[in-house]
Amino acid sequence: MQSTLLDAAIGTPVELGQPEVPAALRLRLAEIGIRRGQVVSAMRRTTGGGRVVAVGRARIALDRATCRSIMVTDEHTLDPHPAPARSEREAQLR
Amino acid sequence: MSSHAPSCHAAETGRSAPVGSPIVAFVGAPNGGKSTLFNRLTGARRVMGNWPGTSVEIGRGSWRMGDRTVDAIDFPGTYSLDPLSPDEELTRNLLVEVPLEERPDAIVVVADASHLARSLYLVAQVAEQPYRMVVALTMNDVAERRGVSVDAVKLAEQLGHPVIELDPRRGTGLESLADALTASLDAPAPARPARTAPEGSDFDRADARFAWIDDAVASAVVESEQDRTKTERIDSLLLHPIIGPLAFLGVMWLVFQLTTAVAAPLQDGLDALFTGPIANGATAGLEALGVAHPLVVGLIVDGLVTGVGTVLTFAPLMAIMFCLLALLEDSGYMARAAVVTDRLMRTIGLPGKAFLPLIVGFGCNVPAVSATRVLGDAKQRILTALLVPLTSCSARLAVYVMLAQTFFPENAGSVVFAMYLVSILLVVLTGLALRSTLWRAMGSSALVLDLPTYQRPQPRLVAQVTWMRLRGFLQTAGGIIVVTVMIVWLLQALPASGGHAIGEVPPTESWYATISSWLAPVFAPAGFADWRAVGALITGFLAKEAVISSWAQTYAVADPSTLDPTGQGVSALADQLRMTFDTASGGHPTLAVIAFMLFLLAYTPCVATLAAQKREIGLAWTVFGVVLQLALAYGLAVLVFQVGVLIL
Repeated sequence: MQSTLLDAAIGTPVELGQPEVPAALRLRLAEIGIRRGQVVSAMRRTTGGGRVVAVGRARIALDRATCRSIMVTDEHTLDPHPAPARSEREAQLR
Repeated sequence: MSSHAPSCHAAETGRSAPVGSPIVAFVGAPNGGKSTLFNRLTGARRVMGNWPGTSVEIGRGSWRMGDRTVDAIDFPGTYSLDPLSPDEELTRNLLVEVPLEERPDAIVVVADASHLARSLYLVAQVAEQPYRMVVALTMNDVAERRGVSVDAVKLAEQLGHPVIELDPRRGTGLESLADALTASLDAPAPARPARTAPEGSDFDRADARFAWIDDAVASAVVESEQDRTKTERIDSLLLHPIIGPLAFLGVMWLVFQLTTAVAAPLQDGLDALFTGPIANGATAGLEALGVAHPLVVGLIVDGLVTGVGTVLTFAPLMAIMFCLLALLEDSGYMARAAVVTDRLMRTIGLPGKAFLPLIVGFGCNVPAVSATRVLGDAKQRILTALLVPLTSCSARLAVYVMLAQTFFPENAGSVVFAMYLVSILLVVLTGLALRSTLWRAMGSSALVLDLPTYQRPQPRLVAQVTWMRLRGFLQTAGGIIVVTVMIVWLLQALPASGGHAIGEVPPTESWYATISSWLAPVFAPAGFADWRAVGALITGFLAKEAVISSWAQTYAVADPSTLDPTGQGVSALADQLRMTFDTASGGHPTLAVIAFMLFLLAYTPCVATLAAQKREIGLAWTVFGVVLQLALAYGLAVLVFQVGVLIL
């Protein structure tokens, strides 16, 4: 099921799809790092229902409508320290 | 509009360095330290003003690099050369669209080391033009605290242009910047761009630039793991859905209090100084010179000196406002305020930041109009500057209290409160009306806001910015206010009848009374077609604070301003006003005074507000605002009176 940045859990890294917004806004978002393939995290909700998004070291505030327009193509948890496989079978499954 | 703007080399653009000095453009993203660097390099030798033919504010100053003087231009903050606003459009026009010989001789791109990848997008675009370029790397201390280490030498190798680490706040690295720029200017201008512009759609080009940037960052930046920063801890409170708005209201209350309570005694002191010792000194000086003609003495003492005094009494108010704006911006809190208020302001099509000038307007409209410069978008700035005069300032409060106590002694408090509710309603409804008509094409701008890290404001830089903005206000608004004060004095001093000496004219026989009498019939549908009521509106145009004193002068009674509200309601002036409104309204004084108060609320606040508007949004929009407010005020007053008479 496709989800948007608005649906992303707080603090969970997600990979962005192409923002479904007007061209000018899409370019502006890309310039500040919000573009297809970028991995970001929604840090907190804002008063207006939008999100503060961590893009690398930057923190970008986005309104609710813009968040709803940014597809998340692959929602997963990027664990920088995965636990070692306990068996060869588990390693194969990974 | 900006496609017809003159180039950087045109004489009318106000070059501040000697003719022939190389022109260097400073560009960079917002919050990256560009203007701080520019201010540091140019010091007092800079001016701010709208680029000819545009409403875009640009800084220009001379920068002395050893034996060489450079003409420096501070362009508005931008993330890229692909424009989304008039500010960015002008930047693009002046840097890219004009012929080579009309472009700046070099560009300094200010890049934020703590947001390097994003900052380098502009570098990538400038590198696609045949420019001498130096990259000034700022915010190195912020980057270091975040565990980001930038190797400027490796970065320069990757970018193909000099990269200079500096701190404009502390003044470090400025000589290195000067050396790099000197070397660059001494070399011939590049015949070809350092980097070939990518092909394809806008997005293909953007992707290619980001790929180039990613390579540069990967080679020059090392990041280490960091604990949650202090900024994020503060943001967990200031951006909290409940605590955030409360904190914001607290900050706004503080701003409101400081611009009224702190400024008020300073303003009173200045007023006393000008109406006392300085006026007396001027009179004595003219006597000593043998100048005795009442017209000349009156024009100089009661016109010019009073006018200059009026301008300077605004100085403490404006200084405090500009200082607070600079503190809020420099600390990083302004961006959070914009996020917190975004949804509320969006209902009238304005960004969150527009809340600040509207709140300040309830103290005084003059600094509130100046505060609209926090809005980067010109259309939003104009719309907000047009709505500010509808916020009921504290000067109008004095008149409401007097009239409420006089005509509604049992419910005075409620009547005054109702005026503030009407004011808020007018702001919202007028905003919505303008958004759906003249500003229909503006569109609802998305909130895409970079939240900078919190930092301690630098007092020296805050003082510099405050002085620069205050000087701009005094220079542009001062003349208008002084001339208007002199004109109103003339009207009151010149006899229309009776053969009185100039300056010794009874109010009823002055040109002030005559003109008020000509205008009075216009207000018959609103129920206050009396020259004394209409005259107060003319005086109120000068300053609402003068309404009660001018009434006292007109009726030849004591000025009750210094009495408490209850005392004002039973004063001799109160008795006269009750008779005037009763007669003028044909026996409906309550309705007539409500109509009068609504007119007072909605029409032009004062000439100082107009002067501030002219500076911020230009003459045409200021005139539009005057017409809009007069129409609104008149329509409201007539509607209330006429419908009230029908119903009651």
